Amino acid sequence: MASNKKILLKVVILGDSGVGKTSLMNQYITKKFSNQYKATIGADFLTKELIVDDRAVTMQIWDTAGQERFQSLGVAFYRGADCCVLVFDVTAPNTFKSLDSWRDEFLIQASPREPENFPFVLLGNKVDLEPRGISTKRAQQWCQSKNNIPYFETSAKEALNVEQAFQCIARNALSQQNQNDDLYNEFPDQIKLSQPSKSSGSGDSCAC
Amino acid sequence: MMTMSSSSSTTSGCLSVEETSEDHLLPITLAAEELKLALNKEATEEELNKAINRCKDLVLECENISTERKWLVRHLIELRLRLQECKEAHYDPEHPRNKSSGASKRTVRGHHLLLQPFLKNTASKYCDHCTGAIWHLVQAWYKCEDCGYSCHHKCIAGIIRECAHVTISERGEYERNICPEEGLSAQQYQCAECKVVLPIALPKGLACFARFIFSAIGWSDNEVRRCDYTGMYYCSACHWGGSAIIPARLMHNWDFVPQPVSQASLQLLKITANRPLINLEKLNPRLFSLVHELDLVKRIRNGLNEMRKYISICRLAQEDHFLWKNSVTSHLIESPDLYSMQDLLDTNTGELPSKLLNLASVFLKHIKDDCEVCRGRGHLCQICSNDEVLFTFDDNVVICKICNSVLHKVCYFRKNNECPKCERLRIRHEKLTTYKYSDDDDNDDL
Repeated sequence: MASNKKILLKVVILGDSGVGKTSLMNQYITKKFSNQYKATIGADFLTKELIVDDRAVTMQIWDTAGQERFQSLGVAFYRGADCCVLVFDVTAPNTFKSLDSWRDEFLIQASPREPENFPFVLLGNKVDLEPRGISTKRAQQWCQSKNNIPYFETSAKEALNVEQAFQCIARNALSQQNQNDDLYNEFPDQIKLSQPSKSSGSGDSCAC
Repeated sequence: MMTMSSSSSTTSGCLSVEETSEDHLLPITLAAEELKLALNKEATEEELNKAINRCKDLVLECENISTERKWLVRHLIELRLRLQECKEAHYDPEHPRNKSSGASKRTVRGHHLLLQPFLKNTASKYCDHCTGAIWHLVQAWYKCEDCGYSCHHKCIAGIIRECAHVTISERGEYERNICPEEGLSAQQYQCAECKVVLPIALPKGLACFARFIFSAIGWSDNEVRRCDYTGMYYCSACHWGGSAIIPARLMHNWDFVPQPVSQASLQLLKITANRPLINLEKLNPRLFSLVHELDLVKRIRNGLNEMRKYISICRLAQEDHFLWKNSVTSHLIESPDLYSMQDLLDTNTGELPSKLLNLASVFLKHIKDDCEVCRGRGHLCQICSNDEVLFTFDDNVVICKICNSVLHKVCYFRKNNECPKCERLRIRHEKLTTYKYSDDDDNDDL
């Protein structure tokens, strides 16, 4: 059923300011890298057409502002995301520590149907730089504790692992969408009926 | 709009003001004389003298009350004025007729006076200094680029009035009080601008007699005129009886009745009509509750300012030149507290509210319907988790003052005015501080 319809995958990139979210996206889409830092304001997206498992998909990648002062705008784009990419800087331990907050915030605001199985991908960026602040082992341990999140060590500057990481992101996003489609197709009526009560209930429990 | 009251200049009063453009055309019967009549503007003194004599002869030759005679008399006056200009140019090295003087631009008392071309302009013009008519065709005259002050070349040296543009730029706001009058004694019975002595009003029967005495002792027989904007008194040369809507009357009384003002005030009010100089929120906030249209304008402008925050950083809007297309750079949107006189006028007529409402609907369409980026930057209520996308400019929302979260008003009140995100942030912060030690141990392992 899904093969006829145009598939749009919505991916959200999150992480502290300066970890390289915009650089990773630009490297993946335009194959360019700039050493100059320019803070992202609010959020914006770019799209890329690609083939995943023999299916043509359009990936819509939402790049976000890491800096608090540029976050005054809302995050309505979280809703309906198919995959969330968390990014930290392997040379800056603080950016690793805030991953939990980013993940929690995302799950609360996006309120996906199954928060436990929602696909996240972790990227440790700037591996071209020394010294390392967060070891591979430590990052992998964190991923295991969060239901085996895939982990990639990347360098946006040297285009290291960027293509592979986004292929994985696209695949996970697609599987998430398929699952949702299956759910809809199996019990279309039931879900429609139970949705309002379910969503309001979960919101209440998250809030406090 | 303004009336001429005195004719002190030698050049005024020669012609009636209402001339049709046809009157300036050379009658066909005189076409043969064209060259002898020195019609070109570069004629020398000698040529002008010749042309004047020729003109006189022709006047005598043609019929009484004919178009030819009418035209010739008019032309004769023009030629004489031109001759006078030529003579003046002899003694004045800066006269615009002397091409080498480069006097096309002069700066006097803040005015940037620009020499005006000898173009035929049907609108009558009077000199702001001597109040005489400016005869465009023959007299060199200047106009200030900033305030529109116009005067003869010969009047430049005597300019008293400061440029209205400079006056208002230095002050930065209008006079706040309604006609702040102190009386003639505070002005030493002198005109507030040119300092000519003003007579005190005498009982009607004595006026003629008094005028005779005044002129005998060197006083002018000027009429005293009050400017409603400055509250000061002027002579008839500085106050032509023009009228304008007074900002202070508008701010305090919502009064749109034009009042008599001096020429200086008139120029000032004219050039500032579109400048956002009135901070109504600061000067008279109660007006908003009394004037319904004003309150409406205020609410729409605040909404537009909120919407501008989305649109000004939207990539798609920039690519589409959205802001430029809708002229969003105006103060109406960027500084919602400031009003210009024109804004208040348009508010009263209802023109401004409808214009702003249109703009608001264009903005709203972009943000909520057309643009995926702007929609993505909206908010979701974190209390009810409803799918409705909220924006800071919506009516049914509250904005948390601490974390800027946008929530449904109803949900927020239901939750006893507690913001869920602030609560989360607080709990997270507590956790971080208690786990600090274990975190350090973790680092040691690696």
